[in-house]
Amino acid sequence: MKLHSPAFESALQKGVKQAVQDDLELRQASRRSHKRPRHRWWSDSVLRPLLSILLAGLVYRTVEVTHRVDAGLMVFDLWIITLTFRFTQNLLELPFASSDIATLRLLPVSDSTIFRWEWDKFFEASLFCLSDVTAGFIVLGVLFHLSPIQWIITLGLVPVTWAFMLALAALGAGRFPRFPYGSILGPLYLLWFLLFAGAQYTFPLLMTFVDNTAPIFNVLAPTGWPLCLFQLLLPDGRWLTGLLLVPMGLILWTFKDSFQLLRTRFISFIYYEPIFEETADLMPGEDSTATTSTDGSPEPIRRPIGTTTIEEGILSGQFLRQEVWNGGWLEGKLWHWFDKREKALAEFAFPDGVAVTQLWKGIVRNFLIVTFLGFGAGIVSRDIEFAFFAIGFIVILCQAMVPMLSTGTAFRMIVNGGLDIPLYAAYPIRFRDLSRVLLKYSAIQMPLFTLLVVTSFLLLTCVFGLTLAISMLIGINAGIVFWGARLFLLVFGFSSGSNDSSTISLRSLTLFAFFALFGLVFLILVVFTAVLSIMGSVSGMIWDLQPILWVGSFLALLDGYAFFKIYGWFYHTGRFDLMRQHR
Amino acid sequence: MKIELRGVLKAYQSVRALDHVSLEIEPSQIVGVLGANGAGKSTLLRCLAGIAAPDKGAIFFDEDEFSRDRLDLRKRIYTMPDFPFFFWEQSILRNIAMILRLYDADGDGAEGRVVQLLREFDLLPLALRPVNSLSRGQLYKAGLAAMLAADREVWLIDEPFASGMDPQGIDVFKRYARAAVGRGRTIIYTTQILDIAERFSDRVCLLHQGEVRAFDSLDKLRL
Repeated sequence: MKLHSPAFESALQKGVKQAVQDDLELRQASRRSHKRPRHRWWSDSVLRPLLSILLAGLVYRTVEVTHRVDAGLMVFDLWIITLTFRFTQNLLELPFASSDIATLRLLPVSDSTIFRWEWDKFFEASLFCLSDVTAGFIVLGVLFHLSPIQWIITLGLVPVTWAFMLALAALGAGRFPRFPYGSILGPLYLLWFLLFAGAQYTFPLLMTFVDNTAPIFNVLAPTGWPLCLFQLLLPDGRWLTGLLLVPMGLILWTFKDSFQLLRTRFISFIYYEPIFEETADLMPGEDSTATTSTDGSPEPIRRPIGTTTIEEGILSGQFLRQEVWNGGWLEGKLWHWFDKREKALAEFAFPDGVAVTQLWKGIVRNFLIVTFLGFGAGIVSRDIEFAFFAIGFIVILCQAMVPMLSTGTAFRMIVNGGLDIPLYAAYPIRFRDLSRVLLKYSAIQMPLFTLLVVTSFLLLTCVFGLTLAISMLIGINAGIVFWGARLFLLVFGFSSGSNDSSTISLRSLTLFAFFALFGLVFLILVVFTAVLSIMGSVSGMIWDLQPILWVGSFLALLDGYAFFKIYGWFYHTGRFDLMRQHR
Repeated sequence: MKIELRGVLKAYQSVRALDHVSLEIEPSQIVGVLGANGAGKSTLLRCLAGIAAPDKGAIFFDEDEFSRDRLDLRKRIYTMPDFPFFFWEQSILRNIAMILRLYDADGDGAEGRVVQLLREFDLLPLALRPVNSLSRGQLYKAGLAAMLAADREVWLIDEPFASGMDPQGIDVFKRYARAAVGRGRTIIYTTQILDIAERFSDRVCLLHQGEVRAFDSLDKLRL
């Protein structure tokens, strides 16, 4: 795509280079500005291939331990799911995520051209996953001693898998945009971290899971279909697997349609011009409609009222009375828990109020559906039942995280003079006050969250023979660890609106050192408590290990709190700016 | 409220936006911060507001050292950036109400003040409109209305005269600012327009490449 005249750009580049060469100050500035790509080079050239190697290593060990190709394919598939969800999320954010869009909109460029520009960027970024897919297939090829022809076919599966991932991502973003891809990605990243960081402990657990579910999982998850084709190359390959080519073909066939859908959505998103109702004529709380009869049918009409009415409304003090959160039981309790100052801050963080009760009703509904379907699946196969419960509960817990971790508009950024400044920075709002409001918001939901974890484990009790006491023990400990994570996430919220890590200085390095230390300790404790809970439950030694589990959970909470307090000190003593360069 | 900057240094990489700035601003005056682009005017206001953190030096309000933790001090200061910090999807009135609550300025008489300000800024018919449906000038006026309704002791205003406001709005602002100074308020604003600074300010702070080149009344500076 050409947004410009190449001849003009060439001349411009030449002129700029010459001007930079001729001036010492410009030369120095130019050198400084070229430092950034080095960071990108580091991540693209070192970290990305390293991830591919780690994946290959995990697939290798899985097959080595289980001697089963489908087990290796399942691990591979879990990675492909993560990448596909990432792609889908990127496609959903395509209309607004890039800072190019605002600039391009000002140029005489058609909307479809801008879409193409953004799509090309997405497309190029997606090419990085080829190294993962290639690494995965190469490992499988080495393990199963493929012939040269089989190698050619296997390497041919690489672009097929990549294209299929793109088609799935486009389909997901186009047809199922409400699916919580972003919410599921967080736990998936955590899963991978646990697998890579705590391999010694988590690997046996993964193997147990994989052993039970691999054949079903690979077929149920569409991302696994192109990977399953590898089995056709093996001597004992199930030829029925070839039937997967049919749904694969269908999904690839939908790509054009999904692409058009995304394009249309992108265009309408960009040129969507908000049209606001004539709210000036109404006071909040007043009925905007009245019925009249022209042709016999009721028709809403607006009651025109002038500035006098608005003036009277303001003078009545109605606008200064805060709207009480009474949408549901939880909202009401939360509102009463806040003091006057916190109510003002709560309004700042959630100006449209909150709908926690409604969200939790949805979570409970989904929980019941998963439970019902899970037991139903158990009639067919125990493996399917296990996979159903495991995946279903993970998805529901992710769904529960959304209201639990929400920060509303608390960390909203405003662009000001080329800088992004958080809205709260301009007003008398302190770190600790805003944090307290958000923590209370999470705390009010904590009993429900704990109950959800306990009930999930309780159901697994029925399926896998654990006891109620163990379920409660694990549920409560999960809640304690969650609080530690909540504190870390709050810090990230504040950090996102600051330049605390954008420059290299003694302050930023000290802060980073604290983050690395406390973050690492926290993750180790999370891995430790998770492994202890599951291993203890499986081996029946959970009661003997109970004191260690409690200590581990409370240490994780303490660690999160300590980091929260340290960051708060940095924040309040002005160790960094509450602004950052506009991205 | 007396404001004092003691050797404030603020650098962005190798560029010193404020180079050991020391100033003493007595209460009840309008101070115009004058300077070219990149002179450090906005950085000065951001440091006073707690948005930017000085690398060295300290800021004092009534002899109390300022930090982000000092809610008592922060509630006495109102910052008005060149683009008002509002919730865009909320109405002008809702934004003003939220701001007044944040400053504990929603007590008796707030309603009358708000009506008067909205009327004078010609915003009354738009009071219930979402902020993102306003023009640039109207938006700035709404920001000023919130600031004037909150009526804090220190007003920090970035580029009020390059805000897209119509002459009527500018006139209202000037009138309110002058009256506020009479009540002991301190107003610090930035501008590049010498003509305005001359007529509107009690004192002028001339910044050049982060350094204070002069700080006095324009009459004295001319001498």
